[in-house]
Amino acid sequence: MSNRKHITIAPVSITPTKPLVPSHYKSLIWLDVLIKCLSEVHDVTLLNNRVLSFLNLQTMNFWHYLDHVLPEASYTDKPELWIGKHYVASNSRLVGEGMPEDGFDQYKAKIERDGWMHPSASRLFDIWTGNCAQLNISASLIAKDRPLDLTTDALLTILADMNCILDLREIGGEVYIDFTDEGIPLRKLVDVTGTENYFAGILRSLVPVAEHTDSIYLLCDEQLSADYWILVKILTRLGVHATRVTLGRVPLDGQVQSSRHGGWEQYLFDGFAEPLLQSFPQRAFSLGMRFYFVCVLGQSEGISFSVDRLKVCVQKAERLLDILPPPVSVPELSSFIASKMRPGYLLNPYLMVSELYGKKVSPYAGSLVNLLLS
Amino acid sequence: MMKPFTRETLHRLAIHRLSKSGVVVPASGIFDATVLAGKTGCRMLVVISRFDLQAYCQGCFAVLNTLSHSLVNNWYDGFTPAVYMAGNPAKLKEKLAFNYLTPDASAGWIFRTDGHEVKTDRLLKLLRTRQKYVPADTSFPIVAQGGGGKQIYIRFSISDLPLHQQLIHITHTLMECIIENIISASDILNISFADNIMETDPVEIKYTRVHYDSSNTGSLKLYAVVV
Repeated sequence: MSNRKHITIAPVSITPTKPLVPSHYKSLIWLDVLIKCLSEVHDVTLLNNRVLSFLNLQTMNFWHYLDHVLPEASYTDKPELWIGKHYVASNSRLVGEGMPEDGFDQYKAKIERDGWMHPSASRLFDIWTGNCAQLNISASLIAKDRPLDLTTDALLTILADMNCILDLREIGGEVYIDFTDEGIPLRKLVDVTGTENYFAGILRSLVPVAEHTDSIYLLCDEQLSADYWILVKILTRLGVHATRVTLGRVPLDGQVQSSRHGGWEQYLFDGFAEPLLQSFPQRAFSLGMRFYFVCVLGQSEGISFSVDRLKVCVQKAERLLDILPPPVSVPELSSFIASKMRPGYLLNPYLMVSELYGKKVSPYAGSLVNLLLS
Repeated sequence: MMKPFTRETLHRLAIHRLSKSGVVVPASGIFDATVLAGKTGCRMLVVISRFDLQAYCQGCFAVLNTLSHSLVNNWYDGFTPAVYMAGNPAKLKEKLAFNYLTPDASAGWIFRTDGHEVKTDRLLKLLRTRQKYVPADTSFPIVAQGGGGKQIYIRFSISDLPLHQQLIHITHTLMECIIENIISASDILNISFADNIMETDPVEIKYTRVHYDSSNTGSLKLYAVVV
């Protein structure tokens, strides 16, 4: 009988409104390592739904801004930087300023019904897909769509049956996740206008999955840690094993701030990757990025992004690729990965990449490199 | 026919309320409720998960009975300050020291005397409602199993407000009437809601609630009369 379990991995969807910055590449690389390694031992499903990021208020607000300020714009040849600068400009307005009378109902309807996205988002996904290819990261990590199976009303009914919401709609109020009896503050799901927030969207995506999987990994950055703790509690009540894995953001010049404020202009992919790709083989760059974002920067927040340190990692990767041992058998690789897992199907991507990063060449290095760069 | 409530009358009633808290304002002076803010450091926290007018009013009476006279007087002198929070009192019984809970635990009252937020308050959110909430006119005894006393008629002009603002006027009117002994345990409350209560005969009036007009900055409005 197979010991393979079904594991769902649910990362935070990246909103297609701005360029990918080092924090995003860190998340994508950790996610990529986790999925590839875990798939050797268990059956893994990636639950990454772009629709959630489209329904985000910030995203719709930006799209409305573009349609309002640049109604004739063509996006097919625009770089990330151009789109990102407009995103920063749109955020200098208050959220909702110039909001259409229907709120964003027109956008919401098109997104939920047709999976529609703004042409600026299509352009960003094209650019990101190209960048991910240089990193041997599957486009599915950023560009997977599926309609949300659960309506908001159905979600609220399920949560009410679990006795974990405070629903004040009857008196014109808001709806909250309510774990106050466990000392957790109320968390808003639906506002007084009936508009659900991103947290409700995540639940609409996750709750239907719970009964079909053995375990759910929730990947988030440290800023969302409190929200994801609540998700773990809800999923646990639904009877599924759930784990929250938090990743620290990558400071830029010692600062960690939201992309909406700018400050990332000097740290885009073209800026740091192109010189390295011109000097090193693509596989060395791709493996070096894993060394840097997993082993050097680590899981938590702390060290600022450094192109010089990244270059050292790419050089190290290039040396390793020249001396790789032959691959081990598939069962041997699976056993090795399984030996690194902790109870609860937990696998730390750091343990996988650090196997390659050490001074001594691991006997599994050939297989691991093939796996990670597949 | 002369209107019973002119701007001058409303102003006089408003500063009369200040005088009951020991703040003397000349007849020509400006009504400024903020002079009482934080005067005593005593405030009431109301936590709500559902709203039922009868249970709520009976709860207002019941909670006052749990408090000492000095606390009640302090609170009255501070203009009965209250904060309305979204929360489920049934889930919070172990966390918050409620002075009173309705029988179905849909509303709970807590009195604080030090003026400070306590850590557990952060579990809750300020109550925000959007739509107008207009309860039906209703009649019930102020004590759940009571009755047999005098008929009290409270007319509110709050139909244009969302519930979280209506609660301010309902609560203050009711609790001040109880504190001023206008309403007692055996009384029957008859509560009605109207757009305009300015035509009420002043001779019959036992209590008025006059406060800033939320839809007209700088003006005063008659929100409730008790006859």
